[in-house]
Amino acid sequence: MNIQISEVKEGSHTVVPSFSFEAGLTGLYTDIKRTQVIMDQMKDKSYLHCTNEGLSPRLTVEETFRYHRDLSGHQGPLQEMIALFGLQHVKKARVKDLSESHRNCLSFLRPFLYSNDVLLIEEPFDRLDEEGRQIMVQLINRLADEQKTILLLGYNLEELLFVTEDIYRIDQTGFHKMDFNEEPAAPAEQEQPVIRIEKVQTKHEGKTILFNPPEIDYVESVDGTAQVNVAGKGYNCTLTLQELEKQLRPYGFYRCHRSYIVNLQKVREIITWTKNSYSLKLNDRESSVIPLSRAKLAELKELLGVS
Amino acid sequence: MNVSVKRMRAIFIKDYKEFSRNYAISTMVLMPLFLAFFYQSAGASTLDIYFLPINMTFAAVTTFIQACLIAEEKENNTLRSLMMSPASMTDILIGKSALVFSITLAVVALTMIILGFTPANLLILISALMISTVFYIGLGIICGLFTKTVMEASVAILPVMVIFSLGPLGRGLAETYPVLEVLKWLPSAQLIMLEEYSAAGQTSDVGIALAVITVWTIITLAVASILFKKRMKDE
Repeated sequence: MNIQISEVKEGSHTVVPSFSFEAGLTGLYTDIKRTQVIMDQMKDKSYLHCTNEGLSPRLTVEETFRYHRDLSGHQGPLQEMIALFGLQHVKKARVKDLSESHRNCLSFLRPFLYSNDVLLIEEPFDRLDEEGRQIMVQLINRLADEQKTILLLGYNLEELLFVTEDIYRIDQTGFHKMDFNEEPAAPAEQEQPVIRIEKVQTKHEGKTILFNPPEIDYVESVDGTAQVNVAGKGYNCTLTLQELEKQLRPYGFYRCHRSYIVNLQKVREIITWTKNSYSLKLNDRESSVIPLSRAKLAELKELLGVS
Repeated sequence: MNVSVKRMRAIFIKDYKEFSRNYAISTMVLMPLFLAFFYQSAGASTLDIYFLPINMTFAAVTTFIQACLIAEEKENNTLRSLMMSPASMTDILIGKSALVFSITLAVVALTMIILGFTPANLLILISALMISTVFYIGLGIICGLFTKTVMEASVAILPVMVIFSLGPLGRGLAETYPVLEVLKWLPSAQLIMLEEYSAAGQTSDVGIALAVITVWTIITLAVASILFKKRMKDE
């Protein structure tokens, strides 16, 4: 027995592509809109179980079980069934006094008894506590053992994984089976991460101060020594501009002028003075303006991805 | 159509539990009894007065409770699961009406005892009352299907009460306003006339009155089941 889902379009946009499922337990990782579309389609062909369906609040748990059992013509001892749903300790309580998790478990009684061959469950583990989830997993597995075709619709992948690995994801192009076997293999291959910390060492009034590269606004060459500018203050660095350029390049720095290295992440504006004269305005505290060589303009634009 | 006594009994028991625990609905059965006491101590003598509490029972108890039972299922979102269950429409309708049917008969009997009313022919009156009960149950189902909550249902029975319970009183004005002559074809008015005829021994007229009530009942039941079927498809 197959479940057939036909294509649904909204204008030119495909909301749900067509697909057919094999019998058995299948998970569908969808969003709420697609869930709605699929449920509308399956309305006539299957039993839908939604979270918003009610129970009679004035009946006790035991009476609810008896009522639905008699209505479905199901044979079987009542107490065993109540125990299966994990509600034996609250069986004398009225439905309206139950906790939300218990109530949601109890709601599942109807699909459990009434569903024929195909059962669609929306958000099977929504608003259930840990105990409730375990019970729900058992109940769904039990239904699956009875050779029923069950389609679980949910937008929580982890929860769908409780019961099945047969999970499909939907997008415009179709249903894609999600492969979960690859994932555990990946971490083993991963090499030990190498910890590398690049600090820029500067001297200021006899103290050694270390800066993280992203803190630096720009570096300029003053009287032959490199001066690192951080938050509007200059610190002398023992390295040359060439060495600094090499060290800082991976952090998004760029030699924009013979005597300037700029942190590209801080560039706010490219100012054009004349056709051949340019400057960079930064968004640091001082809104510093630093020169930009004409020759470097093209390369810089490419780096920044602007035109 | 498969009819299962077990399913009907399950619905009956469930409805009884819900009914007895919902005081807003269950205390309604006391209303006609109070009315009967009131009329009895005020010195009821005419048939019109005897039948007022009885016709009131039909609207305020039969139709109201039936409408509430259906509307409550809708309010709690449980009607859909009832329709998804293997129970057939007959199961559901009979199961849902059985409770109201028995309550109505008990309340009407009590009312008649309180009023000290002795019918001319008990058998004929009982059958007329039973058919009427089915008619008002049908009305209740229609009201229940058109409303969404118990609150709406209690408003929806007001027209039923005005037309069917108080309608027969309008017959007195029929001499001044000939239009009101139509009121005599109401099932509640026919019920009173039936008792008049049977006291006078006019057997053929009794048969006509009984037939009129039956026709009303059949039409109402047909409408109720069509609406219910439509509702089942919508779900």
